[in-house]
Amino acid sequence: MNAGLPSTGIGGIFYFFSVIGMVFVEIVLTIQGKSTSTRWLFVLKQLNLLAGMLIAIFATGYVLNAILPTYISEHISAISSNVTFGQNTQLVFMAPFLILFTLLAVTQSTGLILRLLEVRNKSSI
Amino acid sequence: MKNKPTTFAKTAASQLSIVVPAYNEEASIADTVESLIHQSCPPKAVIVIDDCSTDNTAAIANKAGATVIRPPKNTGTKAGAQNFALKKIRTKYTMAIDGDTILAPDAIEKLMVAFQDPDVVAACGSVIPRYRSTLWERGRYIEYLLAFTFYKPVQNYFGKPLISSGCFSGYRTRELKKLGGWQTRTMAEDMDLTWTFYNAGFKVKFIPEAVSYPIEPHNLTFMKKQLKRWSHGFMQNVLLHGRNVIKIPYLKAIITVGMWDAVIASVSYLLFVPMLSIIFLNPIFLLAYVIDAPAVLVPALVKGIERRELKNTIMSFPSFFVLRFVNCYFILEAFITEIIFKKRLLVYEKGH
Repeated sequence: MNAGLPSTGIGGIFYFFSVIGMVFVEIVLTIQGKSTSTRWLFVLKQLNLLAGMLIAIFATGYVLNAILPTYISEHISAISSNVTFGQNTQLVFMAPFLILFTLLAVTQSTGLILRLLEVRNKSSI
Repeated sequence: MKNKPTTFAKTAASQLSIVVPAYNEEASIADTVESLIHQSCPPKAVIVIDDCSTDNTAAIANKAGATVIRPPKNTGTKAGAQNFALKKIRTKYTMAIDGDTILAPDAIEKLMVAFQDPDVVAACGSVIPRYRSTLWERGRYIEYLLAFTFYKPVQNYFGKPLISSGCFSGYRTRELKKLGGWQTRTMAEDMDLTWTFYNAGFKVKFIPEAVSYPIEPHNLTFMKKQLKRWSHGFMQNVLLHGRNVIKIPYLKAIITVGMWDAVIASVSYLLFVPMLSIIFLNPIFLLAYVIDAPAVLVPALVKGIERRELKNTIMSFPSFFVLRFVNCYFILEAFITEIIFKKRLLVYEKGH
């Protein structure tokens, strides 16, 4: 089954970071003498996929950045005619990363709190 | 030249019983049983649980070569049917296959290799829709290409495939029985079992080379039933396992991110994006529905080329976005019903 919406929102970003994380994990394993060529091949395959997806995203962004500001200025009068995609775009792109890191931090903290409560309950019995 | 099956795979398969729950599957059960019997590493037993079907499922399965058993009354769920068979199983390994699913000829051989690791108690393979003619089947095809090419291998690398898919998974029988088999407490018994394994400290592995081909919903009527069941199943499992999985590294992150996207992205799709188009009287905002198309296309094409199905992949691609839109309605409905109103979906309806 596929719950949720594959590839949308912060899920995609999470998996992108996961693939980058895989490279670091594999470097550490290689230093420890625990990695294999098969493992590296797999990591590189996923890295290639990631690279392809990032190129596709940036290409999409580049095309949209070339077309949208002019289109919006000409067709959507409610938005300022001087609209640019400089700092505003950067903020929009940063938002999913901030949301992702906040969510992961909250999840990690909640997990830790639950563990601490469990330990406390066990020791008070 | 095809490699011979490994000794381990052959031995493991000879210690394997396959359970196939079936309710009114006369159209597909023969194909399923035949694909199991004619594996490169055939199992010891193929057991079809005829869950009080009203058609010729039992006779056809029997003729195809399966052992057919029948519970005294309809169990009401796939999990119930599988558990009925589990009580009778004495082999080291058990596999669950859906009654509408066929396997690639070497699927069992490939999957059983996962159990060379003594800590692995469950293994799942790739899933590709058997038929890809209708919009819904095609949409599901792209969904699976994306998931099984990119997401699931990454989850597997970190030791946490989100689900050991119910349509094709193998298990160590002892641990499966120890944990009570497949529970009927949620609409997604495969997800429930997988997260239960993780909570008990066991390992689950994804073997992408082991391929299964289920029949996916071919029209919206059946797709709605399946999506409703899956979406409610996900929410029920989050409620059931939430306190435990939040302590499990990486799994907690997958689920948290999945929940966020399931809710927030769904709200954006269904409300925010159309609202912007209406407010500004301009359809340009509808671009948001397909803005990630190039990114989604990459893994789909890579897998499509690998499977020599490039044309099929390209033709099916637009259907993904239609299915995704429908998907977001059901996941949001499930969130509102199960989490906010605390009304559980209790009726199990098949998707075809």
